[in-house]
Amino acid sequence: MTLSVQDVTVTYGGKVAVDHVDLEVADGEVVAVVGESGCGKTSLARALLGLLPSNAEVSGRGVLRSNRHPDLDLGALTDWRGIRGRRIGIVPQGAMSGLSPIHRIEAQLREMLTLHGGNSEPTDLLERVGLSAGELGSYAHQLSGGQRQRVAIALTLAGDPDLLIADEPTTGLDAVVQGKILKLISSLGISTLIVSHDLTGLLPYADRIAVMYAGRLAEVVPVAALQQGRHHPYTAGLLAATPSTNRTIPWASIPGSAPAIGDLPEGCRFAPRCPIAVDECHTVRPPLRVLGDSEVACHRMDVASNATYPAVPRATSACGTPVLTMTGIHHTYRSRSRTTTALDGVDLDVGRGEIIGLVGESGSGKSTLARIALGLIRPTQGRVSLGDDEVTGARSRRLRSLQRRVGFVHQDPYDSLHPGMKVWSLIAEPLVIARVARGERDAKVRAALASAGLPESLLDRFPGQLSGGQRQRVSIARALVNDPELVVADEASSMLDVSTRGGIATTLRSVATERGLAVVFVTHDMGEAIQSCDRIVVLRHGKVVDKGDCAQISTSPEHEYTAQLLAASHH
Amino acid sequence: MSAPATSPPVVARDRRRDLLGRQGRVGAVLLSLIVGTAAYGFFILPDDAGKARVGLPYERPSGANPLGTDDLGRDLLDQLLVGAGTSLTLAFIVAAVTTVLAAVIGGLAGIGPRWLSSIIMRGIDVMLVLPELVLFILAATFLGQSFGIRAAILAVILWPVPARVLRAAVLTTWSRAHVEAARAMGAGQSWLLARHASYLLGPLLVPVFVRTAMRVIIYDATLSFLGLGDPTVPSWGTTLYWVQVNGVFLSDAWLWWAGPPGVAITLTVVSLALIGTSIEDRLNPNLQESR
Repeated sequence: MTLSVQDVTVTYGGKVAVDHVDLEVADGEVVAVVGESGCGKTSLARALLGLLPSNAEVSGRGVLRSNRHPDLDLGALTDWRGIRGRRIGIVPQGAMSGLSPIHRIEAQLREMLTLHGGNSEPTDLLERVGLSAGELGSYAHQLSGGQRQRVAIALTLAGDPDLLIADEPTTGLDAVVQGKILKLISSLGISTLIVSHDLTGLLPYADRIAVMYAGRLAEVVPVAALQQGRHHPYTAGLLAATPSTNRTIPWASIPGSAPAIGDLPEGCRFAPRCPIAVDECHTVRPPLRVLGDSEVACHRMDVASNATYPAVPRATSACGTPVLTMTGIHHTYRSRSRTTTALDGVDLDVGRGEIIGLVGESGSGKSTLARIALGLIRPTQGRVSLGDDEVTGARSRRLRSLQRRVGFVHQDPYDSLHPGMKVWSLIAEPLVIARVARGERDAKVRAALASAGLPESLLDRFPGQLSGGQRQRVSIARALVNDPELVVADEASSMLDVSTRGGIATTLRSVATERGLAVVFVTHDMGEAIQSCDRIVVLRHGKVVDKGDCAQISTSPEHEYTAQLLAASHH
Repeated sequence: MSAPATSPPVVARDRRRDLLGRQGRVGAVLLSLIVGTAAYGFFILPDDAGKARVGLPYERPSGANPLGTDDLGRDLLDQLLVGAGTSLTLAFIVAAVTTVLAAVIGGLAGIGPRWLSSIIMRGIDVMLVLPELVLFILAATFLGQSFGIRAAILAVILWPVPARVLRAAVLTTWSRAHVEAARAMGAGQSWLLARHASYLLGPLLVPVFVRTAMRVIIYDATLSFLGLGDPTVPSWGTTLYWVQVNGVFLSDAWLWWAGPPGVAITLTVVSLALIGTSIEDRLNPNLQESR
């Protein structure tokens, strides 16, 4: 047993973030702590590293054992020198920007070796992470994101630690690269604790999964048992909420959202969102009980397989007349020293009642294309028309009147709503800009709010008082309020928790059907596109590499790159 | 993740309530004392205070003249009190004009067409390269020394630096998601500015105003000291000019003649600096993160 943690509690000013958690990591085992934002997984990892902010209080025991060093009581530690780096290695989040930009890789590795008294050679370290000795002379900016993350792992290995703690080690990496990095971490043979929000992404690489919800462990289960067998309803929900690239597996979402840290419910904390909760669940805290190979905290395990979640609906009717037509779009960004071709001859058309998925990795030009459709960027070449009107030639007043016929849902729910405006004024803003008569505004706002699936009680809240999912629905309501012909959703769900993503897709589908809207859904997640769209256009390096119906793309992709993306979506 | 992302509005609200902090409050108390002094000099003292001969030349401090008299027998305390009004009025007028100039020009450079932006930015670069003091001395020498002309020259010389700062702020603001979302709704520039950018840009004008006022006090004193101010109007700089002309530093009269205006200038600048930096610390998002 490398690490055993007992009864760890972390509180921030009296608010409980981690609530009596027990966890063990065996020698060479990879344990994944999985949960949505705010579930306490990062606080747990930081507590183990002694990296919590000063307003946090920790209690409980943690013991680090190894056959090379004496046992270490983490709870009694005051001086962490010689511990972090030598006993516990940290694979940081966002190692993309964590390397020094002015030192060569070799110098950075040597620094770590000197600091932690390691006795390996930089070349060996690079070899262990799958990089060649040729990269020793490189600077960080010369490496790709995946290579930089590999270097960050090599740096962690320099101190030859007994335990690795990796906090969201694949944040910001493309799907294909994510899998490779996780595979590398799991193949190192070191006891590892990975903290992540991506349950299905970790399944092929972890040995055991600890699912956390609202500060407590919901379930600790070996991966082998997870793939069959019964689950905690929350685990089942997380699995169902991850979009599969197989159209026959429905995509679901868990209703509601995770409770805020200061406002935790009594009893089982998942009960308010649980489809099979009974009265007991709302009052009595379920203990973590052993069940087969796993431990589960649920009162209703006998009927747990009955837990079903609402699925994202599919298209019912064929698409209508084209709303948005883009032909031969070229776009180059110019800066002083270089020009970058973002789009190179892209055609796209979207019809009424149809959802088009625009799929690509970062740098594929998908966001540029979305902004061209919105009239925010004028393409270097090509034609964009909305209905019968041409957008590309329009300027100032005429362009703005065209833009009023298009709704936009921005990627970032936290920044896309003005923090000082209440929900009513936020949704009404397009009406004010379009000079819709004052008397008609209220009815339209309420209709849009209902279409976006929000209760009217939220109308006089500020965005700071809403959850991420609710904010994104406000964004959708704002996009809908002026009866647009087209809605452009730029990665509308990418910053939301897994369990609420399906809800956003459901809403987009229902407005597309009810209001006959054309929707452009930009995403980097192939599974999400296959589950929620009618047709898919795959972009790579500014070119369309594949296009077709979702079913056809998911079963028989024509282009090799599409197949890679499908494989990277790993479910 | 969402927990830290939802908390900033609350934090921001707390910070706004305490805009000054302890350091800023010290500055505010100091400044209000100085402004009170200036108001006393302006409203209560007779019109010819500081200009009329009330005693013998070169008198030491006494009950009648607490700070003594100058070479013409004018009361030095009166000069100090009336001078406060002159210096502060100039400082606040120039600061207001400069802030408006910087906001308009910096804003145009930020959201105007590309050609206009380049012209403005190159113009600012040229202004920054020119030695301010020399320029100011030349202008004061050739254009005259009246209050209005001095104010105009100061405003023209001081706008480039804040304009550059505000242009950068406008560019940052324009890349915010809610501004982009509003642009995609078909909102015009004026709507974006009034509804979406004002709450981000407005607070930045406060430190611009305070810092400019601070620099005006120093420049005005410098010019008056060099004899380029209006010698007939009492001001802190003018008093220092007469100190220099009369060679006061050779006797111990500098203690009550040069000392008080020097201290007054220092205190004013320090109080403005205290207010300016503490407000800026709280309102500028870039500085907030590094705190």
